Amino acid sequence: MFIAEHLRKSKIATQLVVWFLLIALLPLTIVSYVLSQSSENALTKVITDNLFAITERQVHQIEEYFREKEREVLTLSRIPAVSTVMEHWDQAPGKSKGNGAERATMDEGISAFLQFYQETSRYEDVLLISPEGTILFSVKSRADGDATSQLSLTRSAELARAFDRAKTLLGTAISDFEYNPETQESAAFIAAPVLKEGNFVGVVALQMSTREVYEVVNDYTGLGATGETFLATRKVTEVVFTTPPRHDPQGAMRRKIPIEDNAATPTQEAARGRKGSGITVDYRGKEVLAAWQYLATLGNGMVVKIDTDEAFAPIARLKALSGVIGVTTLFFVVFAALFVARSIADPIVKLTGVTELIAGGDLTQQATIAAKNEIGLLATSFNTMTRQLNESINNLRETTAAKERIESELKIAHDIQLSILPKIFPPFPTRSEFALHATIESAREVGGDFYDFFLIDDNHLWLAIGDVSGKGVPASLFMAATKTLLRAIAGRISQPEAILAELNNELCRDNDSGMFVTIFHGILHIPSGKLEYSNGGHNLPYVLSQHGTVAPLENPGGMALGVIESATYRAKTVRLRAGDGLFLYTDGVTEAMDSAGNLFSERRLQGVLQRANGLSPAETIQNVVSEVKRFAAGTEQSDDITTLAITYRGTNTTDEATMSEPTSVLFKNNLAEIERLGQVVAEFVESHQLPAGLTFAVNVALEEILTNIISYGYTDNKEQDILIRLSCTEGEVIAEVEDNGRPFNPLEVAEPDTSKPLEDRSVGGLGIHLARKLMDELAYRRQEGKNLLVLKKRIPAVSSPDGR
Amino acid sequence: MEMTKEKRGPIVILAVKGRLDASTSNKLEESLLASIEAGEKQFALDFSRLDYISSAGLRVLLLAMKKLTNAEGKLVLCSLQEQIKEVFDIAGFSSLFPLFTSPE
Repeated sequence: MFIAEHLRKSKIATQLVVWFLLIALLPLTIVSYVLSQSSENALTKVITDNLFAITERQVHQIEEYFREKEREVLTLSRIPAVSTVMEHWDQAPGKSKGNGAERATMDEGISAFLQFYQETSRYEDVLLISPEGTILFSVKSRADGDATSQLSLTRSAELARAFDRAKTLLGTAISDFEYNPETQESAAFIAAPVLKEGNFVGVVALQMSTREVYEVVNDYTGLGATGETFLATRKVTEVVFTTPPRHDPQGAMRRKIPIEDNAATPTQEAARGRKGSGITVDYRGKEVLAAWQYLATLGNGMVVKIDTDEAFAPIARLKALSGVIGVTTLFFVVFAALFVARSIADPIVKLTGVTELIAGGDLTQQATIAAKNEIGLLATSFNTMTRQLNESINNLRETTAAKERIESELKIAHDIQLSILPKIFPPFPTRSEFALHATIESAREVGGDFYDFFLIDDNHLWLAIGDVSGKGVPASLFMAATKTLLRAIAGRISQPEAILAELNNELCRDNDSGMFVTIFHGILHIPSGKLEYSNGGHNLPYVLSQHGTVAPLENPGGMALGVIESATYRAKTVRLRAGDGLFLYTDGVTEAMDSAGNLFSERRLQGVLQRANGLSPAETIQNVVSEVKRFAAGTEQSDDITTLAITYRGTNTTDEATMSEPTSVLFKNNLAEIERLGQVVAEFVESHQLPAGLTFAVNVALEEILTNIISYGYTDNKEQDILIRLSCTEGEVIAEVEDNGRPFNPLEVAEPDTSKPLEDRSVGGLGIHLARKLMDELAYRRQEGKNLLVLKKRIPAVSSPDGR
Repeated sequence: MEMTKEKRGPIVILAVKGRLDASTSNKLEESLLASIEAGEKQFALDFSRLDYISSAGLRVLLLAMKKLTNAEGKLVLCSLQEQIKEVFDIAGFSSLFPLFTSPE
């Protein structure tokens, strides 16, 4: 049923209905109850009053009737003819005293009169009774043709009693009703004494018409359909109904109730002479509203009663009416409640449904609620809220997607950035002269640290470490550019300070961002272990000697790159012995902070490096990094931790074969190459462990030759290669210079006169002169379009171990 | 090659550090000529940190010396290292230039 369905759907609906019902029905019930109670009481009072009135009326009526009967009998008793007859009546029945004829006339006259009287009245019989108690005359027996002598008082007890009382009291007397089983009739008498001149001469009695009595008593007006009045009399152990009750028309004189019976209280009470009223159970066993009293004149109790069913029928009707109204109201209330509940709860249920959908993730839902009340407003606000929420979420989604895109691109950038650093370790497994390792521990954001290294040639290793200012994408881009440039320049220029200078210029050139980078880099001459390095504002690496001492490299000076174009850079050298190591790092190591704000510092780093004496580069780095991480545990890493470590093992076998292998180097026909020549010579001498004095002589000699070739060997501006070969055998250093320039024999150049005075001196030929003088032997030949010059110098026998 | 210039009274003291070779000598040449043009007459070159010299360097010194002598100026060299001195000897420059052991 749709009510139940509705109630199931909505708690609010249920609540509303319940409360509606309570609110409507409770007062209604109370009111109805109160009303019905008061109505009931009022009605009861009315009915009871009514009953009493009826009772009064009945009493009055009955008494009035019997008084009338008394008057009649009295009147009759005072008729002179009657008294005269009775006086003169002889014992002989039907005969009066006196003379026969008068007597006969009088007899006839009285008889006729009495007969006439009886016929015209309702009396059953008129009787004349002698003082002795003999019935002298009876109309009934006369009519029956009976002889009066057959009548006697013995036949009717009640008549006898009435006679007695009338005779004794000399007043009217009413007898009880008596029942004759033969005739099945009851009779009652009223008697009055007859007096003639004060003498009691007899009694005149009238047999009352019981029918008439019944009529009087059974006046049911105002007693509805069930109400009745009746008389009852007590006969020792029983109460006998004198008049027929309405419900038992044949019950007169026949219906009896034992006196001690609990039933028929009113009847019993009345018969016992008591007066009362109330609701009791009658002789039928039905509940009645009754009033009863004793009529002394009759010697009977009278009961006026009406069934409560009938009496209180109006009340019952009222109750029924209330009930009907109540139920109807109930229905209306329920429907109204449901209707209202529906109009309130439906939008709420709908809204709840929409809310659930939205909570489930569908933000496009809108509540369509037509209610004009606060719920409608709620729905409207709700819709607005949902729309805005939807918008916000969409915005958030877009923003998050954008952010994720950026983050993924940042990650890719970071990966690319890291990928341009050499990552394969060991990087040069075939080279036993050194071991190298490097790591970069990135901070969360892309950073600007880098390291780099490559073998410029078989004998030279370039390595570098750098730190770009700042963090994030700009720093990483700058780092990528810097690293790339640096490597390119390092491949082209050999002096570390010059490399930095050039890089600096490049970085300054288009540097709008104001970014700068600190760099340390150096070139290791592998055969000799000599490191030539230059620095741009970076923290100097530590030299880890094989004996366990840790000391930073000497600072050649030089500021960070990218700051100012005219910055100058210097180079320094350090000689690494076999077993020595170098440790390069960025400030991510020393400036790592612990949770209390303390810095890791150089001091701690030195400690770790000292303790790492003898470990491989990879192990050393691992120690440092784990120490830093342990130190900074609990804090977020803010900067890249970059390290590069190299251990120089040296050229462990002085292989005669490799030693004697010539070093061949190509030079361009460019005076700038002179600088490189110097380096090459110096390295050669060092790596062959030749006395350092040789360097000077060989260098000058070769420089002069090379300068000549560069300056005078070519007529065009083309780039040309000049080969210089250095070798060392049997105590001799041999330098060979091979070029494809104009045929030129330096030995043919005239020696200058070194004794000339200043003003006459010129520089010409001085160079060749120096070369010839510094070297022991010079030999020239022209071969296959090339000039070939061979210079030799003997290696001095005595040399100091260090050579310096 | 690095140069540091100092003036003590009327004398310009030029300390040359590094190498004076074909690629670096013109720097010295420029500096000296500029000073001479500016009117400086007395020069002392401190060669205590000079590691290397070739004919290119010698040429610059010769040129400067000639110019100063013409202008009645003076050029002295100080604190030559052994090998530098050797070159001077070979080139016959030791007699052309007053050589001192210290700038004093």
